[in-house]
Amino acid sequence: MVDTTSPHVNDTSGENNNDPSIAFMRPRILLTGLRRSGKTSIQRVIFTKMQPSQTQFLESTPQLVTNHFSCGSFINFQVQELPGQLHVFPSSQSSSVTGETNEQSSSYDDDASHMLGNGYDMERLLKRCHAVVYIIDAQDDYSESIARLNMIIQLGCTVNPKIRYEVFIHKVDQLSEEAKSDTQRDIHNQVRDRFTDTGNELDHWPSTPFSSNTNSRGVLINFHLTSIYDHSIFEAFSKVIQKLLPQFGHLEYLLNYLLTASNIEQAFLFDIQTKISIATDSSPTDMQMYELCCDMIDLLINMSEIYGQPNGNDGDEIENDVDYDPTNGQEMNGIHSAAEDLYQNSSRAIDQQCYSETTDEPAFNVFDSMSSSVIKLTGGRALYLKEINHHLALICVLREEALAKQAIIDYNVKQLKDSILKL
Amino acid sequence: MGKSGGGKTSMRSIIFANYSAKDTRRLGATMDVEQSYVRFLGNLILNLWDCGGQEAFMECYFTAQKDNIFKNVEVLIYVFDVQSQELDKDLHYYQSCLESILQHSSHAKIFCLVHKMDLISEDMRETIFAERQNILTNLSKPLQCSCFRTSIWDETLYKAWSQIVYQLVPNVKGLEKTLTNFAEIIDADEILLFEKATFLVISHCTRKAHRDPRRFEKISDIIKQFKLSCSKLTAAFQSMEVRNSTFACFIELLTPNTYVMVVISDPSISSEVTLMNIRNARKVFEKLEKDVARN
Repeated sequence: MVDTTSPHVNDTSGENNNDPSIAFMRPRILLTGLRRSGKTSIQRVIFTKMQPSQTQFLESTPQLVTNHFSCGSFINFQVQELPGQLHVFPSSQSSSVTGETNEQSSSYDDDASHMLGNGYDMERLLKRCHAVVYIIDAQDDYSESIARLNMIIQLGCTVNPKIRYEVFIHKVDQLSEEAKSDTQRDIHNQVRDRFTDTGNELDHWPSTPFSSNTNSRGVLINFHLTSIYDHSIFEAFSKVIQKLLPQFGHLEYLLNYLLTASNIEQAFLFDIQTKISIATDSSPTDMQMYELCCDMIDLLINMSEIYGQPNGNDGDEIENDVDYDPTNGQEMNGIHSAAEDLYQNSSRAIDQQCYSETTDEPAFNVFDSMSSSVIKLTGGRALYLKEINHHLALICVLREEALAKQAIIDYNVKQLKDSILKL
Repeated sequence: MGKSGGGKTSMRSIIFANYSAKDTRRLGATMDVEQSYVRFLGNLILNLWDCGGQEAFMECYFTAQKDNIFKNVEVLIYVFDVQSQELDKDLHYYQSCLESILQHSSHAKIFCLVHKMDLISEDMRETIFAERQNILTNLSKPLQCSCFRTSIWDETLYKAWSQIVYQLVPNVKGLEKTLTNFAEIIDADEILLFEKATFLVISHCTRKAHRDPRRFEKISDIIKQFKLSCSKLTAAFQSMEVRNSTFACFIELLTPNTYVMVVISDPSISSEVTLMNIRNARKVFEKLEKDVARN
């Protein structure tokens, strides 16, 4: 059994202490929650385009999984998924401070079929991360889940006060609108209650339905209602990432400028691979428009995959889309637009720490420098998509009349593209 | 026709009534026969008989209602739930259907859909389908049946239904000939003709061989999904253009009842030229449609 966390921790903790700028450029997100809450499904659906219905075949994650997510040269994320059935305990209670294998920890495991000799050092994980995304299964009894969340927040406050906590109230696709808001209110109250116990001030109850802020001792907690069966998970994750992105302010400024210069109504910067919106302009967006943009990306990629294969690929199998070079011989996480093989990949026994890296390689080989699309809708609106770099696309919503001045728009977009590339 | 819960109404709703796959969850059991009149290609009216599959109704179809149901049938679509535990019973009902068809509408075309294939894991699908296809083809003799494996969650649904409606398109040969001419003139790699409401491929012309034989249904699926998304914003799409460095594809309204998709891989042809060509071709196709309608 490979000792998973200690070499990893030793590698990067030094790096963290000595070079904060690198750590910041690679925002780290810790994804956790109880077992079967949906963490791996979320990752698969967002990062590897797995069909939501296929996620029911996924097995439990036995180990800490780290995914590097990179779109373009300046956006780098690391998402660490902490499996749900392991018992994580603060280092003050364990004797594994040095990261050595602790024989005792096996008795803490909830799930006998995943006996591991190592407990994960939560403190270390929290110290290094910038955001904790906690998944609560809204279809289940979530009291245990909330208890665990509270424990994590408490620990996090002592270790790293700058962490943002994003709570995904997940699997809400089956709930009615009323049930959704009830659940959200309930969970929110329970989390708040915990903090008022320790003597913090009660906060003002926020009124926005989709994300709410709790500020106790300056702890930032946001709630999102999500489901992998619709776009809510993408939107929630977009918000998380936008807040962590250091260049967000600048990008927003650039997009606003584009809007005024070209008579465009809305502009979004999307990562093609994950359909996460990296930046938007300042105008308020509604979820439907966001969804439509995601669908437009799907359309572009799917059509390009059928007709736009680079020449010379005619002999290839239909199933094989883009693959990545394996890093260090560890498991390769290929990107498939229809997750044909992913079922096999995920059910393979994983011996070592699962480590997959998306590099600067093009996300889709069919998404090249000339990729673009124009969709005209009834009612005079049009959607205009233009490639920015290998991973990013700009989507503009504008009036059909404005589209007539396409040359000007193209020029402005090109300027935008150059500015972004310079960042 | 088919056993209760097999997916008949769901399929019909997705293809003809713009339901999304998720929406079909709220459909209830069909009571007796639900008749619907579906407009297809503008002036063609498809009389669709969705026969509720509960046993009480099934018994009735083969006895009291036999004449009513099985006369003047052009197409019989029988839906088998691949996960059904009572295969023998299903086949028995199917046989009764065939007997009645042989008696009253022996010229009907028969389609067997092995449905809900998404519930079977991917590596088993081909084998299980081949098995069923074998059984059904043998059982159907002397009649001929075309078998398809389908699921509302992927493009296989469109493949089956495309073949089904293809049988019903009037003057399909004339349409194909005109499309071929058109493709030659504008130097297109491929042209597809879709029926406007269902986005099923009713005709195509391929000038450059393509490696993916399943692309037609995939495209139907892709566009239909997008159409459904648009409807959430209470908008509909009118036209689209998708391109990258190796191809450009245009989807435009061709006649009031059909959409055309033109795929061009010659980078020297600009969008404006192709769009203009499509505009000019409209008159030809509209005339064709009118002539057919008159006849």
